[in-house]
Amino acid sequence: MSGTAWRRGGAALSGLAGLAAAALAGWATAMLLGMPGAAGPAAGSGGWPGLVIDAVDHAAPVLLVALGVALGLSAGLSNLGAGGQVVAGGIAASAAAGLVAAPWPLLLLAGGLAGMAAIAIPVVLRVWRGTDEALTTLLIAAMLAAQAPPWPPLALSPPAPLTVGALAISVAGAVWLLGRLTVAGLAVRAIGRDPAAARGAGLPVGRVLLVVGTLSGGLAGLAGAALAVGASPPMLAGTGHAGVVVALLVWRRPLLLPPAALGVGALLAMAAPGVAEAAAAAALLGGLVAMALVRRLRRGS
Amino acid sequence: MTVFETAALAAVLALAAPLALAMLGALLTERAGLRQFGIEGILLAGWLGAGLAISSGGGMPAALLTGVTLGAVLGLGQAMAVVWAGTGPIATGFAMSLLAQALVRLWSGSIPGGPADAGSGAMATLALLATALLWWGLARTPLGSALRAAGDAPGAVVRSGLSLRWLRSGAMIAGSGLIGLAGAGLAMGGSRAAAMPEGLGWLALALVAVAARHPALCPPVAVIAALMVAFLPSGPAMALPWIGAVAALALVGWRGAAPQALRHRLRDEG
Repeated sequence: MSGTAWRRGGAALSGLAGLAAAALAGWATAMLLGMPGAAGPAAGSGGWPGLVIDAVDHAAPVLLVALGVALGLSAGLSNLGAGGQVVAGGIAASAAAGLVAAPWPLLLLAGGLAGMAAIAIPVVLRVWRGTDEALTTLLIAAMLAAQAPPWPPLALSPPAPLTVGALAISVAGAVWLLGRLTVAGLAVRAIGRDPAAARGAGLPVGRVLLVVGTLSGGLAGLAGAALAVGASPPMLAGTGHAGVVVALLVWRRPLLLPPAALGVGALLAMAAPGVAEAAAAAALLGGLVAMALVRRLRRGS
Repeated sequence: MTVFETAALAAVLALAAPLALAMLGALLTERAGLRQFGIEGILLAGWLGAGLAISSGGGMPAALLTGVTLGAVLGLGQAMAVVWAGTGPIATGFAMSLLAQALVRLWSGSIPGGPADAGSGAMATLALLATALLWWGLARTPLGSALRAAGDAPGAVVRSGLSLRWLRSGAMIAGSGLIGLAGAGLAMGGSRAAAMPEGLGWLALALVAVAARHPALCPPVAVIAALMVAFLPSGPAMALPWIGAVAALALVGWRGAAPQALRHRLRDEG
């Protein structure tokens, strides 16, 4: 009994140490590179409430991407190139907006579908040929980044502030509940833990991977569309990378996804794009090293 | 040979030689049993470092030295995290690639335009030398067989009293140095990708698997990829090398030719 408690406590400690180290590394990097907004909200930006709203609006797409990547990881899919699906979603949403005067929810739908299309080939090849999807999604992301046209201005009314945030948190809650409470969620986790055993137990591994992978890409595409219809000029690939960073840090503790995404969102809201990306990557490095060291201490090796 | 043919050959070489060097660097790391997902960042860092060295008046040796050193330092950092702290190689390499990518984007504005457009012959020579050295070294020397064992049978390395940690750290540092050298080569060659070689690292990593992780297959595969890049019109056709890499990966499969220690996925890390 106490052994279990100790193990649980140790696991929580490792997670907390990881997050603390990540926050520290990210903050230090941002400071080092110069973060203009770090001293507080700039004059005329709406003060602290404005900053919080801004952070939530930046965090919402990050959370959507992180959710998709974490969902993939729980089934054993490595969607490292989620940034490519974000770009695809953004392109599709702006293209759809150029064709018809659709309201923004329809554009989000278009983006989600494009994200699904962008991940289709890597997932099918993984299931069919065992091809490494970490690499193929990254290749397709690099291809899409090279193709992305200069951003056309979208003449439409963007969703009100916090709308996408509410959408993202509800989707996250729904995915978490479904994963916890349904047999399908159990199947996904079983496949992630040991695909061979799951196949032996009669689970349709290939089909589940196809569905999970498609959902993962769809969530990233949704995030891209949300960025494209948003008020500020979109930073598609950067937001995608930030989402992957959040997912890699905390995917084993899904309840930490929203706060971690909010932290990265605040970073994106306050710092210049390049600075925020560097800080997020440094946060991931710091978090990974801290978690590995705590793990090593607990094993006593 | 006409002037046009010479120029075209130089354009292909200017990309193929660095690409082959980057592939050989990733190959060395992966044969020792560590995935090299830091390749994209190391390549960009070598490119930026060499560009800065050239623009501050250094010659070709200074630029190459900067690239190798930066690559080796990044490889050292990656080895310390992965081999000594015990982080997952895929996640760590990817994080390092993201960090280097962001920093290079922040700082690459300080490089004046116009590549040096020199040294593609020297880079090709270096690439062929590295190919021969790795081919012979991995196949015929005790160190090479220890390195291969680190990838294929890590348990046997430990049981025979060799240090898995030092073997893998060494392979990571040397391989990353080669990748940094490749980045420097990209900065000097007048190739189209020299404009900012983003995504080329991922391409090289895929091509290593396509070349079945055999040193001798790296230069021909790199030349084929460079031919595609050099002769395609810009626009949508530029997607072809990436599509080709994905298709080639699907053809060779993934797990068949990979060393034992590489057959893990991101989920299994940590």
